[in-house]
Formats: sequence, C-alpha cells, structure tokens
Amino acid sequence: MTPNEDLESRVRRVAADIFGLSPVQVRADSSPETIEAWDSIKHLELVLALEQEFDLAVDPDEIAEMQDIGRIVQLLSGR
Amino acid sequence: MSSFEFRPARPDDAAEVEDFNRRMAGSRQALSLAPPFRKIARRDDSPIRLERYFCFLQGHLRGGVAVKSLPFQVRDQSLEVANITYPVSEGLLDARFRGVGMAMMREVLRRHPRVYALGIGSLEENIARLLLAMGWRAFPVPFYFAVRRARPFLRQMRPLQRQAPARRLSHMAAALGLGDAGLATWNAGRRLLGVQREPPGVVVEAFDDWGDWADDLWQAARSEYSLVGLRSTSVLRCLYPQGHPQYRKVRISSDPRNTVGWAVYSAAQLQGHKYFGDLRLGALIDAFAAPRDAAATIAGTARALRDEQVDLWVANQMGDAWRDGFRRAGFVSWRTNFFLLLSPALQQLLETADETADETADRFFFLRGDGDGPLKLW
Repeated sequence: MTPNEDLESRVRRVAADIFGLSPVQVRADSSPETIEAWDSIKHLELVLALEQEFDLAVDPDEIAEMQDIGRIVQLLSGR
Repeated sequence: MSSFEFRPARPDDAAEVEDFNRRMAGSRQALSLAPPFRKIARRDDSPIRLERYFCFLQGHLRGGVAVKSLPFQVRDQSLEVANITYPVSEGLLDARFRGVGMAMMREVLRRHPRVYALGIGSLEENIARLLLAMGWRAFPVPFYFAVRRARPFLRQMRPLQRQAPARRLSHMAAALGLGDAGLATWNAGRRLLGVQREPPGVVVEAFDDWGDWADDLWQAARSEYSLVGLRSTSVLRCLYPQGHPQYRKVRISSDPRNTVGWAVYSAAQLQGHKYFGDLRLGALIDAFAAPRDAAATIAGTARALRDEQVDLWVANQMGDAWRDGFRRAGFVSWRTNFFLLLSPALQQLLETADETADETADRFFFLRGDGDGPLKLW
C-alpha cells in the first residue's frame, strides 16, 4: 500500500462518515455534483473532520479548491 | 502561487463583476463595485471603516462580502468590532464552488476576529447555517410593532391577504370600522390596567445635526451595556448625517439641559411592499439611552411617530430594559426573523468567570442601525 493510497483511504473514510455513505460509495471523482448531501455545510464539516483526522489546519485556498475527493487527496499529499 | 485570493475590491475588477453577475442572474445574489454602506457619510474624522472584499479562485471572481468596522464597548473595553453584510458566493448556484463561502469567512475572521452578522432573515438561510457550523452563536433580536390606524393595516398587511378567509375577514373588519374600534378599546384597556403609560416629564425635540450632548450621553451610559457599538457625535454624523431626506431625529430630555436619549426613525409611504403593502410605515432605526431611560426614549419617539401619521410602527431591538419601554408605549412583541450572530472570538470576550455570553445577552444593545440600516423603505 503506497502512502497516497493510505491517504486516499483515510480521506474516503472521513468523507463517507460525513455524507452518511459507505467508503466504497466515495470515489476519487466524487464531488458536490455527484453526492447529493454535499452542500456548503457538509463541505465545512468535511474540512473540519479532515483537520482533525490529519492534525492540520486547512488554508482558505485549499478549502475553496477541494472540489472532489481526488483533489482533496492531492492537496493533502502535498502537505 | 495560491489560486485563491481574498482582497479589497478594485475598479479594474469591473469585467469580473459583470461576468459573475451574469452567471448569478436569477439568484438574489450579485456583486457590486459601488462603495459599500452608501447611506453612511464618508468623513476624514470617521472612526468607521468600510470595506468591500472580493474572493477569487484561479483568477475568476467567485464571491464577496462587505465589512463595516467601528469601535464597540465590549464589557469594560473599547475594541474594534466588524459587521459583515451581503456575503455572496457562487457556491450557491454552482456545486464546484461550495468551499468558497467557508474560505471567505475564514479570511474575514483572520482579518476581523471580532465580528457579527445582523439580520439574516432566518437561521435556515445558508449563511446562518454556515456561521453556526463555524461556531458562531445566534441571538434573536425581538420584533415590536404597534398599529396606529387599523383600517389600512387590515387592508394592506400582506400576511393577512394570503389566505382567502383571512383576507375576507380583515377587509370586512376594515369596512365596518371594527378594526379602529377594537384598537381604541385595546389601547384604552392597556392604559386602564397601567400597562401602557408614558413616563412623566418627557420632552421631545426634533433636531438635524448632532451636538456634543450625544458624546456626553454616550460616555455616561455606555458601560451599562455589555456589547454596544460606538454612538459618539462623530460616528452619528456619519451614520445619520445632517440633511438626510429619510432620517428623522429626536432628542428626549427630562429637562432642557439633560438629554436622556435619542432616536432615529423613518416614516415612509410604501408601495407594493412584500409584507406591508401600501402602508405608511414608521420604523425605528437607531436609538441610545441608559437602560433606566429606555421607557422615556421609546415614549418620546412614539409621540413623534404619532405626528408622522403612520399606519404601523415597527422596531427590532435587544435589551430587557427596552422591552419594557416598548410595552409601555403600546408596542406588541411578535416572532422575529432578525438575528444577531457573534463570532467565537467575540463570544469569548463577553465571557467572564461569572457570566457566559448567553447570560450577558440581556445587556446587548443592537438595533437595525447596527446592521445595514433601515428596512428597505425607499
């Protein structure tokens, strides 16, 4: 398992918990356009949950760029 | 380089503003390059700062917000506190930009940690839900009204016209004069029971320019509130300048040398208003007095409003002492859609070892003037 796969699994698990889905339902291309529950409030909750999971503070530009799960993984892998 | 940018609006943003508003057409959200808070006079000596911020993602405008900052009395400290208004985000219409609102608010908080929002309309609105999820706290700002002329009230109030039975009843009552008779009986009964009474010795004087007496009153009374925006003479000259066509100003005294309170209100003939129809509406916009003089200030303002021949008076105001003043002046409290939301940093300043922010809320002082001003009456 590569570090990025591990990271992606963690992100998918956190997102699944926020959106009330199973992790298999959360894919790299999952976004507010494909997950109905993903509104601005859930986006906020997702950011806060990721900050807690990875013990970091998400910058405002990263918040705005988190447009799908794959992009979230990419942003966090660069930290 | 970061693809996200949050900065003051600039004239050369005009093309982006036009593109943004075209994409947002059909929503109630739009951005503007016009100076924010246009009703506030700009003066060199003003302690009020007014800023419009825009939010860009990958070079394209995706949102904005206006911020008004001025000194506040926060318990026993004088600190700058900001008010956010008109937050706009393309995330409302385009799911790709769902993160813009939160990113924007985090940037606002980084620049202005002590910040509030006022109005909102409903705690179910997107902005309210977002702020509450970010740890802000909501406090209702009570709504008060007093019917002065029942017949137009019964015919014009939109909530009474929406359902056919209520519409028929209200029109019938208006035609038969039952509304006026009922109102007279209601007011007489309240006076008889001592519920509605004007404090003795109230002197009301209309004025246009603010004097040093406003500074004196501010200094004398500010520490009696736990959270109140600066209402010095210089601030008031900016907020409610001399010669403004819609603002009416009254000073309330117990004797000619002793100003105990002041109020700013508007009286406007509405046309097709979504709630008030074609009523002539009086609205309390701002006021100030020590809590012990709240009743006299409201009574004096109510007297001035009677001279304006309004059909209905309305107000939103926090504060226990003021609630009693409205009741004694014949106002009725009704459910409110007007809320005060405080940021976490501002809540923290209001807490002490003995009192939480909630427990000090009865000494908050907020009216419509602390937000974007009066109802959209003109």
